[in-house]
Amino acid sequence: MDVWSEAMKIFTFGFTSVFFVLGALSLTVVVTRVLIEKFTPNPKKK
Amino acid sequence: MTDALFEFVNSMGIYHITVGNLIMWAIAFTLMFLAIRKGYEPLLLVPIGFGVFIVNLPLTNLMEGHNILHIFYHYGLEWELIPPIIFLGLGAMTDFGPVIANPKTLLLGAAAQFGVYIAFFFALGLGFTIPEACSIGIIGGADGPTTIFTTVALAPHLLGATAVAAYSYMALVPVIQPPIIRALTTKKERLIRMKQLRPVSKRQKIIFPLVTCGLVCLFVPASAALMAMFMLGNFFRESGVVDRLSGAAQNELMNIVTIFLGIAVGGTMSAEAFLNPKALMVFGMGLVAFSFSTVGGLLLAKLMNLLSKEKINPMIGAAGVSAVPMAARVVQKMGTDEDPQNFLLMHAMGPNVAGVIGTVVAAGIFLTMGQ
Repeated sequence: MDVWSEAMKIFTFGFTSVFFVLGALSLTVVVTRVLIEKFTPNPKKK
Repeated sequence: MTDALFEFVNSMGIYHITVGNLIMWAIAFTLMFLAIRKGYEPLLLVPIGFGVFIVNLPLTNLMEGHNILHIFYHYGLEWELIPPIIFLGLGAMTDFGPVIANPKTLLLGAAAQFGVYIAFFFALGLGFTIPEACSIGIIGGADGPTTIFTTVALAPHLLGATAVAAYSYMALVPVIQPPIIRALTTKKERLIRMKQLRPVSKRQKIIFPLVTCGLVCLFVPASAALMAMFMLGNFFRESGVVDRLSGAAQNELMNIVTIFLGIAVGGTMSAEAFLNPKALMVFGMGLVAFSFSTVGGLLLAKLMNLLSKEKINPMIGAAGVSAVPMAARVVQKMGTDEDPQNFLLMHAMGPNVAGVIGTVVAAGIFLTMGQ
């Protein structure tokens, strides 16, 4: 029983962490892109 | 004289061959046959197969004391040196462009870790301990170095079985995945065409490894050795100013450590260590892990289609199992089988490389909580 409760803990924290970290990375990629586009001079605008 | 002759004969390996040795030679020759004849992961299965062969030559004691295989094993694997160096090379080979162009595919790489946890529970159900179950579960990440890294830390006695299972199933991705993909998708879904990926600037590609390394290592420090090396390799590649280092990481260094890795893993597969029910169960659960990882990626892709206006071809979810680039190639082939003009390779590379990051994160959590 103890093993299974420990296993449930590993599953819950583990799978959630995988989604959380990759989700956070996904958002970071979007934010980085927006920031780069904002601060990169557009050669068409003169 | 008779005694001397008997002693002499007794000192020969041939006098000590066991049935177990013969079975392991058969396994070794099968691995080498699959590599040479069928082209399944030859860079690994050739040295692994040869390692299995020589470690099962009686009285050679290659995996003991200061003998060569034990030295490779001790310094390469027990010291956890080889897997991070392989990740350095993988990073230098990886183009994260598709994942930067379509960041939501990172979530598909997360969903494809589903099989890791299903196999973890299966293993516990079969009586394995938690550290052993973690080592078996991580096979579902379809990532050889991560499997080795995790197993050496948590259940080193299972190393031979988990490593060979991981590499064998990676080679069998084109056999395992298509039936599952067909069963879980409709023809209409398989025909979905995705719009071309937007171009990604050099600046974004340079920033990506730095951001990813920082983020992943801050949240899951136990994964730092693999993630840091992976992203260092990619930083070499994308910086564009250290081509020699990038080249060395993905060629010379990678080739050298692959030899040491293969032969050290093969060396762990002595008859005594490998021929037991546990090793066979590891193989069975490796298949469970791979299959459910494919299911996880596919189902999340279908869910995304329900929630989003811009449809994705759900087959790319199956590429979330790492197995780079094999899983992405399977998706590409299945796409062109349905519609010869539907090119999904670059779309599938997004979840494919995201799967590598996802597996490293899952391994980090196992290493933290599964001791």
